[in-house]
Formats: sequence, C-alpha cells, structure tokens
Amino acid sequence: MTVSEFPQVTVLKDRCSGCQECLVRCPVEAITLDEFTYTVDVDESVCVACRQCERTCPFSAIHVEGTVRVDARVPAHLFEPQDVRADLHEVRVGFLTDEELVAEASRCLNCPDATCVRGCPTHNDIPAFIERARNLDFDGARAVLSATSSMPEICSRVCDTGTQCEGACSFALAGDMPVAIHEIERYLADRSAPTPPVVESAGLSVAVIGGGPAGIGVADVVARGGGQVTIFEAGAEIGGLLRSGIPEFTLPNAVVSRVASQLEELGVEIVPNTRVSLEVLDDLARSFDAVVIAQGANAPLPITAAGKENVNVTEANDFLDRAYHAIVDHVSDPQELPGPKDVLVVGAGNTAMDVARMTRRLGGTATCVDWMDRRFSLVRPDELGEAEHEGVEVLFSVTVASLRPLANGRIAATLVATVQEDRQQRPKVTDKVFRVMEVDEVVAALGYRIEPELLAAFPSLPVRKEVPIIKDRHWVASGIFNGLANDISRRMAVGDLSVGREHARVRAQVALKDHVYVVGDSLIGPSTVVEAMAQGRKLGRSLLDRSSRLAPSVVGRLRPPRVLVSIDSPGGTTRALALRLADLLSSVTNEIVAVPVDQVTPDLVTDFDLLVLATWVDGLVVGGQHASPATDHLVGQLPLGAATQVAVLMTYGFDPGHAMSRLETSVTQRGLHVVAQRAMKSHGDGLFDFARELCEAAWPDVESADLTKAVFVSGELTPSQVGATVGIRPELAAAVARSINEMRALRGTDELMTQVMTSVNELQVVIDAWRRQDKSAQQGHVARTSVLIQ
Amino acid sequence: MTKVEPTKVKLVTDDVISKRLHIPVVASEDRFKATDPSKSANVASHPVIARILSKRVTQFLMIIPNQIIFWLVIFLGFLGVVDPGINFATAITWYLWFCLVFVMMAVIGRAWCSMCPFGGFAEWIQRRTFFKRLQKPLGLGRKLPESWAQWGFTLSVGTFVFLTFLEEYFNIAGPGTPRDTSWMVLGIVVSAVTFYLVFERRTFCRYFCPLSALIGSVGSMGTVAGFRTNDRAVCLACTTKDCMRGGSSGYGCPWYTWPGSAESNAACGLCTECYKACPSNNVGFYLQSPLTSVIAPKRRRADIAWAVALLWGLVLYQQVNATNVYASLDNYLNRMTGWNHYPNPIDYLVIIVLGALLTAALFKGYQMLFVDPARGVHAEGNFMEKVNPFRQVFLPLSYALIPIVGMDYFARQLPKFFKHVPRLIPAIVQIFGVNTSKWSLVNYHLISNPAIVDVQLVVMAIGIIGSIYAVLKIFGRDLAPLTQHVVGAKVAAVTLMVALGGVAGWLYIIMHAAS
Repeated sequence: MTVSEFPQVTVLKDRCSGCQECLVRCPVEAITLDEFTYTVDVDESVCVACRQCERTCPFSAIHVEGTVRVDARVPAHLFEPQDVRADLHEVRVGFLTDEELVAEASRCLNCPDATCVRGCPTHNDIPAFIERARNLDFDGARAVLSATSSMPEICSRVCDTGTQCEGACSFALAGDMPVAIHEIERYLADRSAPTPPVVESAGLSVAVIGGGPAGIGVADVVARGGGQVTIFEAGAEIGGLLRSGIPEFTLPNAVVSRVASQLEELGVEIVPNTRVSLEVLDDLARSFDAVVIAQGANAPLPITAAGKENVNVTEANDFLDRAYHAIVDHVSDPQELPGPKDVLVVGAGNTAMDVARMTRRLGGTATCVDWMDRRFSLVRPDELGEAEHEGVEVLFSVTVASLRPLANGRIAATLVATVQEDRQQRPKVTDKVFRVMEVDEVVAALGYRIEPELLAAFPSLPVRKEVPIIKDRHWVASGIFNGLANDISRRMAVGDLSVGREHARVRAQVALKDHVYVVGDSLIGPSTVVEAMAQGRKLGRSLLDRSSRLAPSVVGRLRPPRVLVSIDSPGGTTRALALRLADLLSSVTNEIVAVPVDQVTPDLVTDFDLLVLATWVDGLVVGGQHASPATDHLVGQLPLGAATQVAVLMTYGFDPGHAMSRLETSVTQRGLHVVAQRAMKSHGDGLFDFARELCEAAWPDVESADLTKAVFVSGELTPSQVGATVGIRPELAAAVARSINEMRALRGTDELMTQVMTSVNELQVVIDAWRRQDKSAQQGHVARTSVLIQ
Repeated sequence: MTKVEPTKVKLVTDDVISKRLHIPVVASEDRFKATDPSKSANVASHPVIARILSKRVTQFLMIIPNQIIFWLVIFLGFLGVVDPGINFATAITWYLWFCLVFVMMAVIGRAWCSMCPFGGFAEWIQRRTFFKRLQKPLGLGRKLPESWAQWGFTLSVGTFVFLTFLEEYFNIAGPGTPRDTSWMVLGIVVSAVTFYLVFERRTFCRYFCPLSALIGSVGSMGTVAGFRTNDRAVCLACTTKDCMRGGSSGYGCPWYTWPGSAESNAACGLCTECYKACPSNNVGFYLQSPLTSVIAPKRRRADIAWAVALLWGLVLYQQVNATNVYASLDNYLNRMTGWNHYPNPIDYLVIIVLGALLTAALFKGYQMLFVDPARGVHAEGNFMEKVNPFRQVFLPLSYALIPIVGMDYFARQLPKFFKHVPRLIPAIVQIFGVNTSKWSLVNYHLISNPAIVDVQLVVMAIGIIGSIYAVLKIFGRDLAPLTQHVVGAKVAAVTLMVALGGVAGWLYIIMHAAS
C-alpha cells in the first residue's frame, strides 16, 4: 500500500482537549496522546478510516478523509434456479466454506465501542462471536450468541440487518459496506447447538400465551434460569409467524423446528392447539407466578380500495398457508399446481414480497403495489431484489383506487399514482390513473395490528418505540447517532431506530396488570422477529431476578434488591446524606448505584428493585411545601406499574410540611409502592433508623431459622449472601447469629458454619460502626444487640 | 456533615453494552501540577454557591441586566440627546463599561463573557430558550473549518483591530457619538446572531468576538481558574464526557474546553454548563493565584502569543496616536493617499504590526543571543502546531508580557473614567426627561491631569512588576533549559520586560505633554 492510499486525518489542535474519547474507541489504536500539548496525534499508516474518532469526538476536532481501508465484503451465495415453480429451497444460502467465514470475519475491526451491538435489538456481542468465528471456535461463538439470543439461526436469516447491526456497523456509519454479520452468525448457528444449562429450580412458573419469537424468548430465558414454563400455542407447533408468516424459501421449517426442539429439551411444556381467551387471564395469573401474553399482532390491515366488498380479497397469511400446502402436496407434480394465474398484491413490504414470490412458485404472475415512494419503502432491499429477480413486478408510488368484479370471474383493478416527497410524509393519492389491470386474485398484505380485544383489555397498548429527546449518554458517546447517511440502512437513522427499540425492550418488563405481562408484537404492534425475542428475553430475565428475591426458601437463590439512589441535591447537602445512606446499604447489597436525578431515566428505574429518591423540601411554609422539582418530574415519568419499590429520603431546612405525603401520593399514582420514607434535617439524625426501616421493607423477608437451616442443609448458600439477605436488621442479624450458635453447639464447628458466623458478625460490625458515628440515642441499641450476638 | 465518597457505590451508571474500551493514557503526575488549583480553592464546595451554579437560570440572571442596559444603549443612542456627555449610550459604554471590562478581566478572567449580552442574546436564539436545556438548536450548526480555526485567538485580534479602526474613524468612544455607539453595539449583536446561526456553540465568542482575544489573554492574569476537574482520574474514566457533548442538565462546553485538561482560564467562559452537565459531580469552580494562567500552562499557544504581540501593537498605537509626531505622519499619509480622514489605515496598521513585529524581533534577538542551538526543537505543522527555537522563546516571553499589555490597556481607559464617569448620573437622569446638561456633574472630573498620568504610571508600574514576576517564574521552566548562560538570560528577560513596560509608561508622559 502506498502512502497516498492512507487516509488523511486532521486533528484540530486548537479544539482538541486530549479527552481521549477517540483514543479509547479507535479499533486499530492509531491514536496517541501527546502529553505536552495534551492533544492527540494520529498514525495515518495504521488508520483504516472507519471514522469512529470523527463520530465520537465531542468537539468535532478530528476529521478523516479517504475511503475505508478494508477488504471487499465476501459475497454470500444465493440459490437462484431458472424456474422457481414449486421450488421451496432456501434462496439465501450464505457462506459455504470456513474460508469464506474467516475472510468475512477478518473484516471486523473488533471495535472497542461496538455500535453494531447497540444496533442489534438483543445486543448480541457481535465482535466477540466474530472473533471466535475467526478461530473457527463454533461452540465458543454459540456460547456468546446464546447469552443474548434464543434463536440465532432464525435471526440471522430473517433480520433486517441494514437497519440493525449491519446498519450500525462502523463501516456502514462511515458510508461503506458493513461486515456481513448475519452471514457469519448464520454459519456459526447452523453448525452449533446451545449447551443445556445446569441450574436448579428457580421456583418460578410462567405461562406464555403464544409460541412465537417473543414467547420463545421468555421461555428460553426462564427455562434456562430454572423456571417452569408452559407455552399455550394456538397452532399445532410453536413458532407463530416464523412458520405461518415467513415462507419456507426464506426460513425453512426445519430451522424453526430445531429451535422448538431446543426449547422442549429445556423442559418447556408446550400446549398446542390452545387459544387462550383474555377472559381467563385472572385464572391463569392465580395458577402461575407470571402470565405473559405473546400472541403477536394478528389483525390484518384492510385495504381501502373502492369496491373491495364486491370482490374476494385474500389475507396474506391465508394465501401463504394455502400456497405452501399446495406446493408441498404437488412437489412431485409441479406442472399440476393449482393456484391463481395473475395475482395483485396490495402492499410491498416483506410479507407482500413473500406472497408475490409464493405466487411465482405457484406458477402465476405477481404484481405488488406500494403507495410509498421506492426510496422510503419499508421492504428489505435484498428481499426486493430477489423478488424482482424471480419475476415479480413491484410498483411503487402507486395504489389501488378501485376493484371491480368481471364477468369472466376475474377482477379489474384500477391503479392510481401517489406522491411522497419525504420519509415522514404520508403519500398523497392523485387522480392520475397509472394502470387498469385484470387479475385472478387480490391479496392484502398491508401489514397487521394488535387485535382490538387486546387493546381493549390493556388501554396502554401499544407501547411506542419512543426516541427520547435526551438520549442515553453512553449511546450518544458511541457515535451511533453521527453516522453518514448510507444505502445500507436505507438512509434511515439507525441510532434513533435502535434507541426506540431499546425503549420498547425495557418496557417489556413492566407488568400491565398484576402478574400479567405483554411482549413482542402484542406490546408494540408489528415489528421484527428479533425485537420480539429481545423483549421476551428481557422480561424472562426480569422475572427470574424478581423471583430470586421473592423465593428466600430456595437455597442459593436469595438476592438482595438492586438499589438505585436518585440524588437531587443542587447544594450538596442532600447528596452527602444520600451517599452516607448508600454507603450503609452497600454493605448489604451487591448492586447499588447513586447518581444525580437528571441521570435517572424511567427506563433505568425498571432495571432496579429499589429506587431511593433522595430529595429536598422545596417551597414555602405559606405556599405549601413539595419535593424538589427535578424529583417531582422524575416521579411523573416513572413507568406505570413498574415493579420497582420506592423509598424517599427528604431533607428540609425548617419544616417538611406535606411534602412527603404529596410525593408519596405522586408515586402511588404511578402504581409504585413507597416502602419507606423519612424527612430529616441535614445533620442526618435518624439515618440509621431509616436504613433499618428500609431493609425491613425492601429486603427479602426471611426467617432466621429457615436461613440457618438453609445454610446447613445445603451448604450452598454463600456467607456473603447471609448479610445481603438479612439487610440492616440488627434483631434479625442477632437472631441468625444465635441460631447459628445453637446449631454449632449441636453439630460442632465446621468451616461453613464459621464462615457464615463471620459473615453475620461482619454485618453486625458494619452496623455498629455506622452507629458509632451517629447520635448517642442509638448507642443503647448497640448494647442490646451485642449481648445477643455474644 | 462529613462528606462520604463510598467505595462500593457506583456513582455513574454503567454502559451495559460497551465493555471493551481502551484504557486512556494517564498523564504524568507533574503534567498539570502547576496549573491545577488547590482543592480548597473550589468555591463550589460551598452549598450556597453550588446551588447557584447548578441552577439553569443563573447565567440568564447574569446576562439579563446587561441585556437591558445594552438595548437601552442601542435605543437611546439613536433616540436620545446628541450630546455624548449626557447620552446614556456613550456615557455607560465608554466611561464605565469599557473600564469595568478591563478590571473584570484583570481580576477575574472571562467574567464579562459569563454575562455578555451580545453572545448571550445570540445564544438564546441559537438554543431557542433563555435558559432551559433543550436538544435541538436553531441554525446550521456548522463547525469552523480547520483552515480558520488554526488561527485561534488571532482572528479575534483581527476583528478587534477592525473595530478599533472604526472607533477611531468615527470617534465613537472619546468623547463619543451616541448614534455611532448604537450602530457599533447593534453591529456586534447582528454579527453575533449571524455567527451563532451559522456555526455551532460559541464559535463567535471563541474566534471572532472583538474582545475575546483581549479578555482571554489579559484575563489570564485573573484569579478565577474557572471550571476544572475535581479528580482527573474520574474524568479520564468517564466515557461520555457530558461536559463536552452536553448532558441531561447542561450543554456541552460552548468554548471547546474540557475541565479535565484545562490548564488556563483563557478559554473558560464561566458559563457553568460543564458544572451542570457532569454526571459525576466532578467539576468544581476554582480560584487561583493571580497570574497563574500566565505563568503555569505547559502548553503555550502560538495564537495567544501572537494575539498578545498584536494587542501590544494596538495599544501602543493608541498611545502614539495622541502625539504630535503621529499627527504629522497621519496628515502626511493622508495627503499622499488622498484618504482625508483620521486615521489613515496605512499608519494605523503599520504601527500595530510594527509594534508586534518589533517585539517579536526583540524576542528573536534574545533567542539568537541566549538560546543554545543544540537545544532548539523543530517540528513542522500549521500555525498552531509548529515548533522552532524562535517560538520556544517568543511564546513564553509573550505570555510574560501579558501583565504589561493588560495594564497598558487599563491605563489607556483611565482618563475617560476619571474625567467622565460622573456624567453617568446626569445621563441616567436625563432618560427620564430631565434636562441635566447644566449639571455640575457633567464637567466634574474625579481626577484631572496630571494626576491621571501619575495613576497611569502607577498602573504601568504594577504591570511591569507583574511581568517581571511572570518572566522570572516562566524563565525557570521554559527558558533556562534552553540556554547555557542562565544568569545573563534571566537578567536580559527581566530587562526586556522593564524596557517594554517603560516604553508604554514613557508614552503616557509624552501623550500628556502633547495634550
């Protein structure tokens, strides 16, 4: 490579502040810091022009010119027969050899801040599995994939990767061809199987209504975590739209069956041919710890053409099902295939393409019409290209104005032109007749929506894939929002799409009713396979986490709450108090995060079991006191019905007035429960008592005898878990200690007993140490407890 | 209450997705040792100040009084009385404000920038809000191209030289013309708004504001270090840099300064945004000893050095132009060029550039005399980057010259202040329709000549002492390693400062003699 081929990188030394945001993210380590000037230098001979630095520099102080220095993408193989009639072979074949796999995997830069992982709705660790692919470590790669995906063999076949991982690949954001992530994933997934988990029962039972991608996601995670899952499937086999909505030539049934059998191997009970009515939800909720509605969005959108009631319009899924069986039944005799000769498909999304391509496999002609402009169409480019290659006519900026039955049994369709000038604009229908055509059958493939009954039962549906105004700072820093517009993502903002998906994924873990959850297309309306699965997995994880807190009798599954402390403290006084509280709680929980209130988003709250609102009393005695505005604002944004418990620590100068009760009312109105509250002056009197009260309310409720028994019967409960489970509850800690002492007297000293005793004593020491810093009123309590501890 | 920083509590939210970032380079311990203020100098550790700084409305409240005053200036300059002595526009702008700006920059730093109504007004429009944290700014949000940005503060010197020429040409300031004062202020506002709508952040203030280079360089003497990191390790561990990009509660630094690496107050606009944006509560508001930002920065910037030299040339011009010799020269050039107006742009620019170049030549001579060629460093690059033996001397000596230049500008404003600032009262009363032209305050001087000259000489003496102190401090670290004749070089450096400051002082005597 000659010097002239190197990218030209300019660092604006005037603006560069040496913050090293570029340096920590440069995949090829081409950036160094000049300590004297405290600015960065770039080694252009190493730079590959991926422009991560340009996208992530906070001050736009670095500029890269030149094309991306990476080998050409390895083309994947396609199966393209001359005549597709009756041919259901998978069209996309992918890579055929290890060499192809390694060559493509070698294009990956293994970015330190991999935007592809953010683009992937389920956050597969893409660089990690690609690294294993380079080493042909299929089992290792599968282990990486299984950590975040329940069906990599399916996702890699059906994902719209251009708007997901590949659209967010560093190369794509730099305007070049991304790594063929889905081809690599597919190659790996097809040649490996997930390893069965070795877990004990979690004491959690979950009913899943619907065996589609979302249901499979929930079931996979819960079953692997030791829970019992029952899937109620309306069809004969699980798979949902994976079987009914995606044709064999895109996603073979054998692949779906493989995923289904993996679930069965995990012990998931599948109840086929059972459609669960929403009326029995309450009954189910009584029988299971959680009921998950994952039935998809199955109400087809109707066409609006005049005269549609005079002709027979087929629904896309019905057509696909009929066509599939027709082909399977005539596989040995393709010339005798029954089916329409000319089909008009209304819509030009992926389902429409499937219908049209199936029509071609039946031996007919197919025309798709989409009222959107070709530039803004929602169809995947590869799908569109394959359809057109197979002889499907796809018309954009056209819609069906009217349908009329003809005497010969056929249907006359009048197509008129539409106009759409930008992506956000709704296409305008004109009077200009584009074509009048005669067809045998009209198929509606305009998409689906959530069933009206489900919407009526859960008025908060559908959850929107909202793009927050203030985006998560980690996402902003990754540069995913600063990519160049490119054809890979169809010029859509991949970053915005990704955060929207993430919002929906997080919301999936919020119960819409007591013990009742909704995930997948039922939650957000028609979306994608991977999004549904990702939401299901997120909910599954959340259910497991909660069950491990609420099932203290099960050895080894005890878990203290994950605590989020929201600090609202402009002057630092409340912050100091909140940090003292956090410090105290940190001795009895494994995960505690204390951040300023402006960093606390509703989505973040759902990931924690306990939210401590550290706030202050604002307002005047005359006008009425209330919690500080930022905390009030946060409470107003809390997700309705989130499982997170709330505690309030409020500081005041003179008089808290009704501030506490007002805040509690606000929290309760959001469907959350205030478990502990305390208003105090800045000197922190009563902080210890508050911590104890908090532990009483928010830590798992355990009997000292049960806990001690659990320690000795199984010997698997770790000593540190004792403290975490007991929390700051001196009486309970003392009781546990006494119980252990009694057991020791009976059984003699063994190592575990000593460790657990040590753990309990350590907890007591922490409590005592804390108390010693506090007022003398609490000293008496120490004395009483220390007698019990011995 | 004892402050706790718990060790087992996470104080930032984790990024659950990205876990493989490279580890940033940690600077050696002495990299920021000289410039980092003492922890006890963090005034934000006081709850009341912290509360004020954390309020989004704070900067708005600082700007709004000036906003009202300067819109009054604009309107009353056009509509008020013609007599500049009692017109509010001229009185407040030239007899009070311009002096106060110099006091603020010498004592504090960019204090004026934090309350500037021109940039503040434009920023309101750019952000579409008076003080809220909104996400989508108005305007094109362009970045200033590298070809321009590399000139840094020298661009601002250019606009200051241009504005000063206009001021001299139209005699806007002394004693002044109200209408032209209004045009000038309006011109600055319009320029600011235009730049703010085309470029992102405070590109106007950072590069083009006529006062920016002056405040940035002279303000280095100030005792406010600005917003700095409390703990650099926390800043380095931070992977989101909300202080630079903008966070939930604060905008990204409009001045392109990172608190984690700031070693001077020259580019800290004291806007408080980084303080608000930091998710780790890791930004403090620090004081520092006077002249710290002159003496201590390791990275000496070429743009600041040349800005100082050119500003020195400009203030020398402002002194020279009051002498008879200059009047003769200007008239001569006007006759030769047919310009027919004071000042002739040729002598105006030549004197400024000559002032800068002669100073640079003196420093060049110093380099030739004292710098050991073997210790010279050569590095290619653009204006901002390149290094050579001349720059190794020119940059630190120019920084050392800052107190003299700053005090010279201040001294230059004193006559207007002492003679005319009492007029502010009749000028204010006059707004309400009272005829104050006969008031004795109109012609009352706080101090008259020659006492003013005495004060000016005292101010210059302070400047010289400051420069001597600065050059002695700078010499040890920046110049001594370059020479084999340490004592001689040190004496020469001090002598240079005394000589340059002496020239300015002498010019005040000459000016007085001429008047």
